Amino acid sequence: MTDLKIDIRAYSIVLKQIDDNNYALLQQWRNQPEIREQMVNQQLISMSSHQIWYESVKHALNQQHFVIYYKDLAIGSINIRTRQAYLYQADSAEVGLYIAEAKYKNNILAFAPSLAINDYAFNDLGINHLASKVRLTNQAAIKYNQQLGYQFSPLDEDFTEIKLTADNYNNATKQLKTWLSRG
Amino acid sequence: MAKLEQLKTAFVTALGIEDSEVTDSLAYSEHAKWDSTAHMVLIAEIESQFEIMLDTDDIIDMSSFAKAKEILAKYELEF
Repeated sequence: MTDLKIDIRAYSIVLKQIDDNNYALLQQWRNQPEIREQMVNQQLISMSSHQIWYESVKHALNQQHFVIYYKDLAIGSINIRTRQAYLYQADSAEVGLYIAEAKYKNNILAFAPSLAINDYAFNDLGINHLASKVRLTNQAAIKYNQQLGYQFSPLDEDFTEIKLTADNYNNATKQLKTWLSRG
Repeated sequence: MAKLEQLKTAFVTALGIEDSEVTDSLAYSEHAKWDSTAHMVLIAEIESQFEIMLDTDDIIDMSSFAKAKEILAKYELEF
């Protein structure tokens, strides 16, 4: 089994796996109203709950949580997780992202962490496909995921399922990768 | 077409907004139609219109119409 990466550098950003020094950032960001309202679980998260969650995931092999840095500034968080025992060679995994730094929410840079983690998922971990669900009211997320090559299947009145294969991802993101890799 | 008009047209086309909305104060985070996807379309439109290849930092820094003019000046495009 391959080791899980703790740092991923690509497309002008760095993803650093959460550790004792930065995990508290996630609780602050996760409780921001504009982020919370797009979550399946919209409850406020207390620091004690967050600490319990952090202890449960920091050595997990079926999920990884990263802080996104752009030019040494922490701008958001991205995670990858599977319902299976291990991320490595999982059949299906789910990616979750939020950009907390307002300056970069509507910027092309917001694609960089997804490109970095999707490359990791398909090329390093050998994951077969990525899937998750998005609120139908979250049109920004729907447009965003379309640009990454996700295919959509409505689930109910509130959510659509989205699914991404390596082929669809690679075909959809050639130009994006070029823009974010020029240096 | 004058370069300023070309740049305005790029913004109108990419963001799907009215010509009158393209002013120096037009900035992302302040216009509902300027999201990360629209930003991507805008970069494609500008590179196509002016036949240039922007550096990644310039692509990321292009946060307003005024900033776009400033960045494009580095590519020997004066407005």
